[in-house]
Amino acid sequence: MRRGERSVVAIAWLVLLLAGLLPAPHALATWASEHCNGGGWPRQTWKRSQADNYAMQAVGEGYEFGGGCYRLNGFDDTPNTATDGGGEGADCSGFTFKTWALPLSGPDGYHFWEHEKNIHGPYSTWAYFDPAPSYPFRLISKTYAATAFMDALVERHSTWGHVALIHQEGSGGSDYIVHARNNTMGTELRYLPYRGDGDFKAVAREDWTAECYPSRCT
Amino acid sequence: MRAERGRRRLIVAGIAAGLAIGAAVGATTLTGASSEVSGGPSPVVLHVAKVVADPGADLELRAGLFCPGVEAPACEVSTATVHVLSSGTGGWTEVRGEAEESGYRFVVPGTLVPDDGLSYWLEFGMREGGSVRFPDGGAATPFRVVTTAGLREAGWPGGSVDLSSPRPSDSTVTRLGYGDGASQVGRVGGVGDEQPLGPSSFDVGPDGAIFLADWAHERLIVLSPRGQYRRAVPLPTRRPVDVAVGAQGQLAVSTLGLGATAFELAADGRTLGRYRVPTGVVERIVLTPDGPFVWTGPAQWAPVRSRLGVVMPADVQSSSIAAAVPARDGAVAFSQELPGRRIAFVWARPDGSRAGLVLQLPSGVQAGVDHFVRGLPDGGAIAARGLWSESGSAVALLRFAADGSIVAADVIAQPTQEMDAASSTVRFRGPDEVLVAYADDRGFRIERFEVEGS
Repeated sequence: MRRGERSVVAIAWLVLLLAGLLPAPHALATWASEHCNGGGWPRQTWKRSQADNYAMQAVGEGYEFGGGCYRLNGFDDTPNTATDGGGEGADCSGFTFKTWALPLSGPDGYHFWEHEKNIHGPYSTWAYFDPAPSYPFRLISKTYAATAFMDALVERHSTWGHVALIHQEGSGGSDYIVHARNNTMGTELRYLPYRGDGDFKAVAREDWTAECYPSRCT
Repeated sequence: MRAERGRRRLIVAGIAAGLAIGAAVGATTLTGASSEVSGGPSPVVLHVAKVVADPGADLELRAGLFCPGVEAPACEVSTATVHVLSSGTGGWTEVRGEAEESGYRFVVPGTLVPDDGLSYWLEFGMREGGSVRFPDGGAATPFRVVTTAGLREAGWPGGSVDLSSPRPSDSTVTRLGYGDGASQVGRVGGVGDEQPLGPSSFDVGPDGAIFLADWAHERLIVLSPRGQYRRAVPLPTRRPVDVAVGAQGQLAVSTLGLGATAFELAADGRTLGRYRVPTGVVERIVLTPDGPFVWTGPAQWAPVRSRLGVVMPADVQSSSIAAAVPARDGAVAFSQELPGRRIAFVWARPDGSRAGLVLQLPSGVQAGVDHFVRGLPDGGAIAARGLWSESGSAVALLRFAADGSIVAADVIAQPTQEMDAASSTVRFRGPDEVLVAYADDRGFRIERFEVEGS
């Protein structure tokens, strides 16, 4: 091999090795893009108990800022992925959107999404904290007498916010809470004093289907 | 020609090597790695247990069942019953629960709530057979409820409380910035819809030193009583934990939530015991003279080990749940919310007699987080209890005399919510101090409040 050719081959090796160190095209895909094939469909009825069951199935799974997709296996599939790196889980507002089966926009009607669907929905914590009249949820009193399970507690600060769902009402300003917490704790069930925290407001979805449906409610 | 084939081989080999390396790098950095499967089929009972009741008044109880990792039909309840044994009666009375919301509601009639109190346990008949008892030991290990009979009742001094005008602290014990330095603390989140988490807990040692759980750096930071950095102690987990310091300086920490793990540590951080906690939703840990107990639900404290280093079996943990546990000095004290915006504070005087007070809160104010009640050598007590209204929140600092009367009552600002063990944001430091954790974007700090009347 001539000297020039050897140089070309060496450069080719170097370039190829460097190129190889970059993520291969397949690896550029995120966990979410590879595992989230869920569907969704319009939903005429949605009970609090159905929402609660939907939410509780995600306990133990991950958290993803801006995400919405779960693989229901009881653990966080992407514990070391950056919070916006395409990993498993919803964030708190996306989790609430899917659990409440909210519409993507007003006229679309309520919509169920499977856990495996990677969708966040249009509502941020700002929306839950200060809902527009057209939104399918509204602020309510946060006394125990005024709330029910699957109502939410929401706070909003200058750089961040949080919204969490009541699984079972507690006492002393605390409740059993199910929520997409953050990238450290994932989606969890906890007993937390959000109700008694002055920063939180209570927010309720509208138009829940009665628990007795389709039987005649007495 | 040979040289051409050699070049092609080199190029093909380079591509193969590059793809292999790239795939490996991509697979590990972009998709992450799986952790071990957690959870299991055992039902978790979510109960707001009662330790105090009004004699003669109906006692309302609530409980639900959650089966991690199990499809709903396998966890469906067909019957829910509370078994009640009233003092002075001959046997257990069954009271059926009503299904409501996400659980069951039981109303124990006032006729079963005599002055001397009662015992109870819960039983859930499962649709697919069998039953779940809570506590696990059923009639052999029931919850014990005392009553407010004989306790003094009082309103908030002055009649009203302004949660928006908290009392200022007496001094700042320590300020720690966020960062990776020796006397800095870690903080994650705090952007967009991601809740921030800073140090997760702190406790006070027998000498007044402060032990701060800087979980993000897998360490406890130990500060002198005046807040100066002393040393770091390694933590056995990189998860938010609650921390407790024992009478001899030994340490205990617990991860939080479902499927928690409690650890006992030597003062230098060596792990002496590692105990899985399959019961309930863990939010706190204490070190009693009998070892560590974890809080698994309201008024539910479970021991975690049979002896140092040996985990207690799950059914024994559940059977051994206590409504209240002693502090490291052996004294028992607790508070509980009662119907009608009232709080019962109960403690043992040094002579072993019971003291207490039922505090009527002003209109619009509700009872919040139970931080602590601590009996004092003079027979009185200090308590810190959260207060909240529709628009605000604060913490009440109360000093009681030995006869239960209120000596002093103040409100202080709500502590940080970035500390994951929320109850541990307010700590007692004898003889008359309360330390409170606060945080903002600049850093973390602990403020000191002196309690009047001590």
